[in-house]
Amino acid sequence: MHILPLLALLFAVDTITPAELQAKLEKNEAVVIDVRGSVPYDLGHIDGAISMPLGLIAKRFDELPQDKLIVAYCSCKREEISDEAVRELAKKGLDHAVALKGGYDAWVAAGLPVIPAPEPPSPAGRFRVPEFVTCSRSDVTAYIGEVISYKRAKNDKTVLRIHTDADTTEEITTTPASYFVLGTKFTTADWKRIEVKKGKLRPHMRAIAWVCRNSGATFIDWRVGEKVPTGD
Amino acid sequence: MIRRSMYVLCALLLVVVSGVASAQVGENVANPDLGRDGSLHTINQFSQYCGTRPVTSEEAEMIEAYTEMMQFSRVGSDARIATNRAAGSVTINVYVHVIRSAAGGGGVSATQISNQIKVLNDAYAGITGGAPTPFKFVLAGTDTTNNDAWYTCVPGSAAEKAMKTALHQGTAKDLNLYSNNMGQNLLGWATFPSDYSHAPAMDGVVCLNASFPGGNAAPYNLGDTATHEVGHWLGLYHTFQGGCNGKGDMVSDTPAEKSAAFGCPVGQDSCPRDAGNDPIENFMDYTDDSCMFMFTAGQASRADSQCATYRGL
Repeated sequence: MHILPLLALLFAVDTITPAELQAKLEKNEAVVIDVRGSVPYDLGHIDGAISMPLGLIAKRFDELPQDKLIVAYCSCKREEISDEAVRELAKKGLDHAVALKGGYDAWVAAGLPVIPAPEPPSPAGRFRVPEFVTCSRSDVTAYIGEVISYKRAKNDKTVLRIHTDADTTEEITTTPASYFVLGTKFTTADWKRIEVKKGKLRPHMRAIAWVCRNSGATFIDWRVGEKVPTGD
Repeated sequence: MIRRSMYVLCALLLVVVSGVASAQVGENVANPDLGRDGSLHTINQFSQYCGTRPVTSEEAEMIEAYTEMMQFSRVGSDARIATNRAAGSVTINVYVHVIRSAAGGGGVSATQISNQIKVLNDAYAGITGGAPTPFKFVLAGTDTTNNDAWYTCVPGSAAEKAMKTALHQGTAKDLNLYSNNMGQNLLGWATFPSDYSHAPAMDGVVCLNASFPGGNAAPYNLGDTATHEVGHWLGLYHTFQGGCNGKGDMVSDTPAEKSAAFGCPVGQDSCPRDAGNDPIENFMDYTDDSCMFMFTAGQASRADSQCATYRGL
């Protein structure tokens, strides 16, 4: 019944607290490895940490120095993954590795320096009316933002809902005949750029709906690859 | 649940802090330096109490609300739309970074840059119409770089980051104005004052080269893309922010507008239930350069307080 805690104790690895690690980093005595995946790393990591997901340690361990303490961290309550990383390093002969106690959450809670996710640029641009918009400029408006709903019927008639950068939600009914991508005419090859599969839009896809107020004519400019989201 | 409670607590603290700030209104008006220091100090206290960082959208909204309340409390309801500091009393150094193609094409001339500075000064002094603001602009330096990636960079791109990291000059008080050929029907983009603290090197304004005065981007070639983008840099939102409903652009004297206007639709009223026609003549709309000519007094006041709070200007 009590075998598991005993086993855990037997295979436990050394740990270091966030404060202790910070002190070592200030003296350039430690190297930090983030053993989570690349996505959590990109969403925020310890300042100076190297991204080395657990599954890649066996291939990349020789990137690590021999003369500094190696500190592995994860985003897990009991350092399960970082413990595993330390054991993996030990197998490769790096026995000077420890796990960060409390992981990334403890580091953040201690107010220690992190590299946050890159800040998205603010939605503070200015656009010109494209040449493909056929009505008078004074008749035009535009809804610029993230497509939050996408319903493509069999006849390709499509209903979009756009949450605009101006913090409104607009519904547009359109067809692919009026599609453009970053200002150029939409082609068959562009479906893969906007849809994961037929009828399913790629996540966080942005678009500009150019609308002629009087006629209701609509032109959709898909902003493939554009990274302009919430702003402040 | 805990997070939600924190925000409620923050909001309550905000009201209390605002009340304290209100008691110092006289000092703020009489001595702008004291007022600015007071604002910053109060924000720092607020952050410490809440234990949160000013990067979440929730907190950004609270900061906006805080700035709005400070603006209101500082000048009182009738005078709310008055500019706090005298017209032309705040000088902003402008560093212009001309980005050209690798072959050297697509630059802007010294004359265009000089004319652009004049366009900014006329607009922000109220010479073209509307309210004067405290800001005047002085060309502090110009550099030219030939780089294809930077020449066509767009917001959020690696090239934008590389360009700004390499070329940015000065502090939060200084305007970095880049010109390039961004494409994609973009005329320009900017960062807000509140963005500075977490990304100082990215601070600034990027404008289409052909939008400078005398460029070939008609009807957007009278220099008002820079006027518009500098408006963002000073803390102003689009006049159509929030549409007919919601908080709008945080300024009380710009009529509500359902969505962006282009061209020059005189007499258009996209929010008929609200007072006033669409503010198509406002620099913070999307109309043609020849159609936009003014900021309102409320915008002048907001830009003043935003820059005092976040740029130390």
